[in-house]
Amino acid sequence: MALTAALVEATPDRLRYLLTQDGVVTSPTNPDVDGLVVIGNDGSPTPDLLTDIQSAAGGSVSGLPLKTPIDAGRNGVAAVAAGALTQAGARAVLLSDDAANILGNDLTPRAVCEVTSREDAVVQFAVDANVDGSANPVLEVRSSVGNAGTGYLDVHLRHTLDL
Amino acid sequence: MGVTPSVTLALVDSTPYRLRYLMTATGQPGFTTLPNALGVTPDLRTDAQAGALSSVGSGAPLLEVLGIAVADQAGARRLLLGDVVASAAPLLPGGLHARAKITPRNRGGLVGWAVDADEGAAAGDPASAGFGVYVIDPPTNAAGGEEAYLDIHLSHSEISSE
Repeated sequence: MALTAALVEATPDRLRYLLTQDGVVTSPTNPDVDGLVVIGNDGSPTPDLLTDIQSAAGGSVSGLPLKTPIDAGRNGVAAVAAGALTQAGARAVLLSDDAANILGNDLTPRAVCEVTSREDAVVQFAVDANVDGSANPVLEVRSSVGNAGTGYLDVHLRHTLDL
Repeated sequence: MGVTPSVTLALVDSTPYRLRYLMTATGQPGFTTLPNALGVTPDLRTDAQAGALSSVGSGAPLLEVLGIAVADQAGARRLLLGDVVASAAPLLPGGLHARAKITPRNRGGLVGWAVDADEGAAAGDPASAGFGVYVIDPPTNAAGGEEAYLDIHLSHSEISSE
């Protein structure tokens, strides 16, 4: 696969992934094949949001604040029942984008995602949130295609310094 | 009917330390200003006030920075982008400032966003005169629908390492 994500750091408040675009393109070019990776959330081998937050050093299950928004689909969040999260809800809990007023309460824990290219604008990255078949929130990372390059994706818990 | 801006901005999150906007290119050329005039949202001080009211007694630190007067573009870049080269003199004790970061959301929005700062009137927004505003350029030749998030952080605060 042309775009991959690898966990490089895990803390109770933040996950950092190294994004690698190898520059290889299919023929005919399909950006959603060559420049898309989905970070799942079902306990599969890393990269997986649930697996990766549980790997955070020193964290017991009860001591992993970032796990709360990651579990929003499994446990439900605000008025959304378990197993009923939609893309709007995924964007609210993983991107702090609650334009649809899903969460209804500003104190509901949520994450913020940022991407940073590591080389000088050779490859660009975008991150969106969606849900998988079990209504768990997942991250869709897209990149430009045709050139090789790397970057970082940070998934932060909102209101934390966690430098 | 007014001219369609090149970018529409929608506030999607506000905290005492950070504002997050969803930017969507409209396909129109030119730049768009994020004002600072206490007008209707999107507006820096209006939106920072919303974040302050939602805090749990932690005050309004980002609002305090956005409310500092600036005389020119150098001052706006110092205050809103942390550009210490633009203006050597800090506008706040300790050099406190805001900064802006763009995170693309869809493939169309991958390339080409830019954000600068200027004094409001100089940026073409007389209602924001005397205050710093952000000036946003969408991707070149945008067709419309390109999306990215714009985060306005307070320095030395959550999710801000500078």
